[in-house]
Amino acid sequence: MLELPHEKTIRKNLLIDAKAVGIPIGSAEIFVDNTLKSVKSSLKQTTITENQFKTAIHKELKKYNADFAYVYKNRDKIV
Amino acid sequence: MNTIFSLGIIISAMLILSMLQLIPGVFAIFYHYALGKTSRKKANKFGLFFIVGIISFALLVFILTYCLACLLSKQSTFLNELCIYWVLIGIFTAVGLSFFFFYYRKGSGTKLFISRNISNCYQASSKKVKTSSDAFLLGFISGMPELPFSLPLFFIISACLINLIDNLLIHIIVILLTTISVSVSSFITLGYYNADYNLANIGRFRTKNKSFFKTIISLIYFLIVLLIIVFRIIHA
Repeated sequence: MLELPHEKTIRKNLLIDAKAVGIPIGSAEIFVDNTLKSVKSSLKQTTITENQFKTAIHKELKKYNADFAYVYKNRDKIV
Repeated sequence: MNTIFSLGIIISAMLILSMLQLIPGVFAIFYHYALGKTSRKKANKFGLFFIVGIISFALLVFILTYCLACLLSKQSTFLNELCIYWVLIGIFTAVGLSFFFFYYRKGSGTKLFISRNISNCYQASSKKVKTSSDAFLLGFISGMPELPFSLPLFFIISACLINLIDNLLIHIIVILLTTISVSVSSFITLGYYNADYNLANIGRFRTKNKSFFKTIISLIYFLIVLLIIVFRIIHA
């Protein structure tokens, strides 16, 4: 399974987004852990680009909550 | 005639100031992170300090342009000269065209004209807000990159105000109304967040109405040009 660099930071940031979107903390933790697990197992290559990683996370998050996925993908497109 | 002209300009300029998109955009990101890191009560407190920061910056800029307009009007009949109106027509036409073509970047989302470094800086600063003073300072600097679009508006409001009436109390009221109009969109965003909307809803709304804002604001800039031409060039 692929090892993600800064996994703790990614998890922390995702939890902040989830809370801000209005997902309860318990559910948010399950969503984020499942997402990261799926992304790690789905990405076969040893080296991936940031875009590939973002797309994979977005795809997984979309299964749980559309708003959460939207915020993750478009956060840097607001201003 | 003079009253219609001045009121028309002041109201049009206030409308533009209340619809500019950078400040509410930064506010939306800032409040999103505040909500993700703290309680709603604390996020609201930070939000209010952010808005106070916006108002303080707008007040500072407006007072500076007001003093400049006062100085120019007392030095000579500078503001009544025909050539200054042609300069203003040139400035507002250029700003209106720039707004239409360059305010939003091409592509999805509502990426604005500001450099990506500044945008990233706003994102990073929003994430790191921990105290009310951080929120105030972020609000204070959030309007700075938009000065090319807002400064001519502050100046023309000041000039019209000085031409319109010689009453300090009315001047103070208009100055306060103008500075508050700058923060109206942030108040609306705050209201949306408190009505259980989130950054995704706000982002979708902004993207959906991108063309509307771009067109309507450019048209108001051209309306100001039209008012100057009709009331100060043709009738002069």
